Amino acid sequence: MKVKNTPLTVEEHEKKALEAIEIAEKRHAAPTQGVKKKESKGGK
Amino acid sequence: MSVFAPTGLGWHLEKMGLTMDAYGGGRFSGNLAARNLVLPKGNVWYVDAGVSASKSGKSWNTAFKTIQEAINAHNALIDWSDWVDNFSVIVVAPGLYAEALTPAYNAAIIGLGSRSADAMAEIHPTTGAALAGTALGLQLINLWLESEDADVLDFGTVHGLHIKDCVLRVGDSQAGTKSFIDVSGSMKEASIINTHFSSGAGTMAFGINCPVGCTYFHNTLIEHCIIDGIKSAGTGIYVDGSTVTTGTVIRDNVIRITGAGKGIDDNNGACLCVNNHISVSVAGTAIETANQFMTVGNHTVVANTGAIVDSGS
Repeated sequence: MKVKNTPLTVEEHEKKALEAIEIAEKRHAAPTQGVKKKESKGGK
Repeated sequence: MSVFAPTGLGWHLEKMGLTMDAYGGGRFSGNLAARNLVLPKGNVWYVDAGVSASKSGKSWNTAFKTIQEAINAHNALIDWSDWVDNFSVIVVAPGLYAEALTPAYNAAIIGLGSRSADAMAEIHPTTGAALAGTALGLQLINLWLESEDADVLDFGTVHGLHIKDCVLRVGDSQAGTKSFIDVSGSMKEASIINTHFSSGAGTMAFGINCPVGCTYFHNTLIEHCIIDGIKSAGTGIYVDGSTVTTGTVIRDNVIRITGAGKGIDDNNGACLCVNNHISVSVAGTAIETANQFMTVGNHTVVANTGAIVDSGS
């Protein structure tokens, strides 16, 4: 765990929290990202 | 395998005969991955308004005097590149905490005591909200929260918020313009459970307010709450028409509206309202929703007449 020597200010923490939320929401918004679908071979 | 043994008190995990302590950056060395051990990185912080001066906050004997000190101590240890892994518990002794708090991220603030003879941990600033800012992984448990001139809880963005067994009390100076819980930005992944929105000499305009500008009211559960202390023309739970609402359930609550107000006002029509008991006056509205099919088995008591009306499909 990296611990900063100089504590962040309240405003800096708020900014980090909002960035973390943005990252989390992007992750939720693209749940299939990186998952490659198999190509359909079609019916028999 | 060797075990690092840090000093001080903290979280202990006993597994397979091992005791781990997270204080002091405690770590195991060796190959533990195969044993499914999860190392807590957070701490337990102790707060007691009754101590003469703050110390390290790591035990009752060395407790912080204020909750904000504990919040700051926790936040200072957050590694924002790995924040999910750092979760602290802040334990608060009964007493009065005249503090307008800024948030702890990924932490639980737990009050001790019970609701009798001022025996709870009461967060009650002389001015401002009891807590204001961004809620990210925040849990508020068994706390008394009160404001005299602002929203009791004033959130911008909420992403992971759990309020349980709390008392949100209207300050005696409140004039019916504020909210018990205001979410101006967005609310996602929240639960508000078994919490009493408590009346007093003042009144609030809203119990829970998702106003214009609140983009989401998403995956939120509000259950077993008593919502009182709302002004006669106020609203228990308000959701603006522009607020995207998905997966939100409002169930088993008791809401009291004394005048021309509304118990639940869902302008988006996407909150599933189930088995709520709402007391309104003749002039009031129990549930106003843009989609009546989202109400199931709710019960209205018309206060002036005593009539009981069951509504919902």
